[in-house]
Amino acid sequence: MHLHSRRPAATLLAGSVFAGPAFAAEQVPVAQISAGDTAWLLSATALVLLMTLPGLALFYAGMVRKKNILAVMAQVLACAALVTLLWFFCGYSLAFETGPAGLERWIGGLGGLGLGNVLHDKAAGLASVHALMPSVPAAVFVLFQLSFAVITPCLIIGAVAERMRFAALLAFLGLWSLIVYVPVAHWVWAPEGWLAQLGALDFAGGTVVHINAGVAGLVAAWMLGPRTGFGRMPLTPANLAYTMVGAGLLWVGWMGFNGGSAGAADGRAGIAMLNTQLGAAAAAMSWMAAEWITRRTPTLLGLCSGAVAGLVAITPACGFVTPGSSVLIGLVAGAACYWGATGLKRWLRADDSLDVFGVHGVGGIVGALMTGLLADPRVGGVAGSLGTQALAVVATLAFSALMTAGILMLVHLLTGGLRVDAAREQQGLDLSEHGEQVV
Amino acid sequence: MPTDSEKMAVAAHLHVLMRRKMGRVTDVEWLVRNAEYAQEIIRLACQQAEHPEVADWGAKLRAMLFPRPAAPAPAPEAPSSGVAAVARYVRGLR
Repeated sequence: MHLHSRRPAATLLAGSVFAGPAFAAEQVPVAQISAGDTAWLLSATALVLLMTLPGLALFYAGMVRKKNILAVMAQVLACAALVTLLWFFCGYSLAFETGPAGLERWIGGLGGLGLGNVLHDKAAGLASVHALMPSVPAAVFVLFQLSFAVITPCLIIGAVAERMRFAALLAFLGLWSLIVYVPVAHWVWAPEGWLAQLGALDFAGGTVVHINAGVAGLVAAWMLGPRTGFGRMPLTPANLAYTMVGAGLLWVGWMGFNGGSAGAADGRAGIAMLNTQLGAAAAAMSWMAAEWITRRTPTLLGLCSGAVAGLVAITPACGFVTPGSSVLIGLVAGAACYWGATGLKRWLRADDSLDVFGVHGVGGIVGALMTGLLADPRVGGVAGSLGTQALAVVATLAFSALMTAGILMLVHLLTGGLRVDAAREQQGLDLSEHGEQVV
Repeated sequence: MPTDSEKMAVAAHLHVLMRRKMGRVTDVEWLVRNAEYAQEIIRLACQQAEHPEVADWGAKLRAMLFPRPAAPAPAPEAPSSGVAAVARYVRGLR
């Protein structure tokens, strides 16, 4: 979700200072709603939800051992449902409604609790809209943002796969979505957010979603400790065919993730989607090349991972760069994330089970920084700043890492432990946590 | 490995066919005990193009009394790529 296609940043800044808070939901005549924009945002939302259910679920399930397939799927599904309700209750309001005076740069307000200000009055012919997407109903804006709020904590599941207690995981992800995701979303996407006011560019969530989830996954993997047998025995993926199907759903769904962030069915959405496709393809090829050179074998997992790495990296950039720059970003991201999931992973000494930091963290950082270098004013109306992008990256890394560690310690105290015991881990979470198994 | 009873049964069957079709009388027990006698009788039986059933039973008796040595066992395969693939999942997925 970007800002700059609607109004230049300076105007937004001026509006927030002199005109008072004006970015909450307001009611407008339904004739003001654009059917085309609304239809596209509805479709984009469905695509993004498909990325989580079942895209991410399949992507992850194929990479864990057979005895943990159902557990990972249950974790993704449960997280999606939990975050949906939290978003309804207060998440949306704290992310996108006007914050209390003096704190509006850091967090939103409570004006949208329970989505009480998201209205559709048929008799009066009025519908609520949000200032960030004034041509679509607020309900659609809320739902579109919800789909981002859902997938972000779900990404973290990959880092702690195969060893975390279900109850502890749900508690952690629920708290994380409110304490970490919501503030960062506010900083970057709400016009009064402090990073938005500094001019940080993040078209669709490279920082808010991917760097955020990536570093949280790394911290969580460190704190949980490695899986039994990690580094000593092969932890063989159950079925990489599932992973490929999941990767395909992610790739296609990302058209909604990036294209929908234009907020309208227009040329900006078109360029964002084109850039998305180019970035994914280039990264898939560069990861494959890196793997082929270093290991003499191109793998399906490498192709899937490379494509996802490119999608991650192009996410912050897709509405600001040219197609040529998208290819460059993809090529760099594929190779960088290959290193992130191999050499860097060994150096970090964390059992990030499914390489969430290596793909999402590293990919998000590459994309954010390259957006600063390559943003073209002809495309997005603004030029980039490497320094501002770096500040946004560092701020997100630090905040997410610290808060993630704190939440995990709290959950550990409240739930009696984050990990299953050794016997349950050996048995597999499918049976030990859910009483089910794949035959 | 066929038992003596099984060898006797096949030899007896060949004896009956050779007597009916060719008018030749054979010693069934000696067929099973004496290799040279058996090879000669089997050679005569397998020459009977006009009595294919005699030739078939001659071939069966040959297979029982003089089995071909088993084909040498194939050399053990070099460690397959599957082993290498499993080894790569020790320190990480990728």
